[in-house]
Amino acid sequence: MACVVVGTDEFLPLARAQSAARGLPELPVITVPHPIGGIAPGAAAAKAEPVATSVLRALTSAPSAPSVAGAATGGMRGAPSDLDEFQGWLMEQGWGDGLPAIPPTAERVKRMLAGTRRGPEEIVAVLVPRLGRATIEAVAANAVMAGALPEHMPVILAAVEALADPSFNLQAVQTTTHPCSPLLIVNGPIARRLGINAAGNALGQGARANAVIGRAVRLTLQNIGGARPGKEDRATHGHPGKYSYCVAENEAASPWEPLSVERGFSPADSTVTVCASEAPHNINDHGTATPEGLVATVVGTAATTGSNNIYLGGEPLVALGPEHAATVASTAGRRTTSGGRCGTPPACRGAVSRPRTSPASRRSIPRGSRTGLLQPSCGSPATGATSWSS
Amino acid sequence: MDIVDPVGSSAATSRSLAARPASLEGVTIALLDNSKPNAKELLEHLGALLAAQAGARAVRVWSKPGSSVSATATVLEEIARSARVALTASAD
Repeated sequence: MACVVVGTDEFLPLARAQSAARGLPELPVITVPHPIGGIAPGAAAAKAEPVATSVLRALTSAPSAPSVAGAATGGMRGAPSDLDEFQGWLMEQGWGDGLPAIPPTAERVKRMLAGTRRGPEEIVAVLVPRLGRATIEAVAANAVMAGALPEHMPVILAAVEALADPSFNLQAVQTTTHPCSPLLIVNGPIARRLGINAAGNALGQGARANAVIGRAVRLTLQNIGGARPGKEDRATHGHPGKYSYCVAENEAASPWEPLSVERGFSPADSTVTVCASEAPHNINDHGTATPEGLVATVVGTAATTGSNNIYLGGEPLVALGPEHAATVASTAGRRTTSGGRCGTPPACRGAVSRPRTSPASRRSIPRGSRTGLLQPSCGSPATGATSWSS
Repeated sequence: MDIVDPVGSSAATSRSLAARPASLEGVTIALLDNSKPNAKELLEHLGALLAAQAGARAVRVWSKPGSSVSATATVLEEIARSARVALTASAD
């Protein structure tokens, strides 16, 4: 079937990247001036008139011969040896995030590979929109750039696997205009062993493990997945968590079972749950002492005009501090369909993405297995509550 | 200094575009609405212009279940069965 893509000019880089990733770089893309949304329907329709002739020509002209794919092939690349020069060069390649990065030399990547028993050529996942092969080595290169340590690799690799689960809908998360980014929620012994912050300022700066694990995953998504800001990544405003977004659940201070256990894992398992999330929004309630009152505050904060979860439906992630969690959990018999966690059970229809959980410790998981990935049913309240000391 | 390529290889494979008809005379045009606001209006007007200019037999519209998810296999198969050419949308 002869096909032509009609888009707005703002979306041209994404349309081109998508057609190239699908092996059809010559697919005709005809653009009209951005936007078509947020204007009168008649004004949007009128944008068809100047391009109708071009569309007709594209539908009836013989396509040009397919070009040879020019995709990067991996391996080694020459780079400036001077560390300061390297920073500018990295940005010119489109491989940086704006912060200083460590050059992923062969020696550093080899040291990073010591953090996993998996071979460097093993493909962890194929990441969209570019269909980039996330080999262990390529992920390790991004981990080096992020400043990660070898012991962080199991968490980084588990997160990449969870992100590539088809039901997570990584394609949408990588390319959407919605400013969201995968939040990594780490559970189990590995969180404590690595010192992933689950206490004060857990979503902020100051903890190396949180910072570098989240950054390594973000660079992997940008570079291997091919979601470059302003190009394939169409986020309107973005948010600060797009540099790094990683936290642990404070299991010791939580009155509820860990998120990973709620999602079917053992308390002894180390897991990463990925949840496409906006920037955090504080819920301020210093006075309410009843579960009902606190839940009303949470719902009132979440259900605001313009919230994506209200506009399109979604799965809000509610994170409570230990004091609030204790209050909500204080009344016997209050555990409801949300598993005792605090939140609103929204409709799933229209949700961009659903949380995925992947094991971070592969010791109890057969090599190469996808065992342990959950398939939560649509409509279930998938709210996860992380709790930490305030 | 040599570094390990942080981009790596791509699993994309090269394919060929489908042959185009010489004209749209008598063909059915499929429109795949991406479910973004006003996309349907733009595509429908474009379809009407093409039909008027090039003599297409019919213009039919299909939709994705939501803007952030792919068209279903059923819809794609139906489009392939029903139409000779298609216009899809990538816009906001």
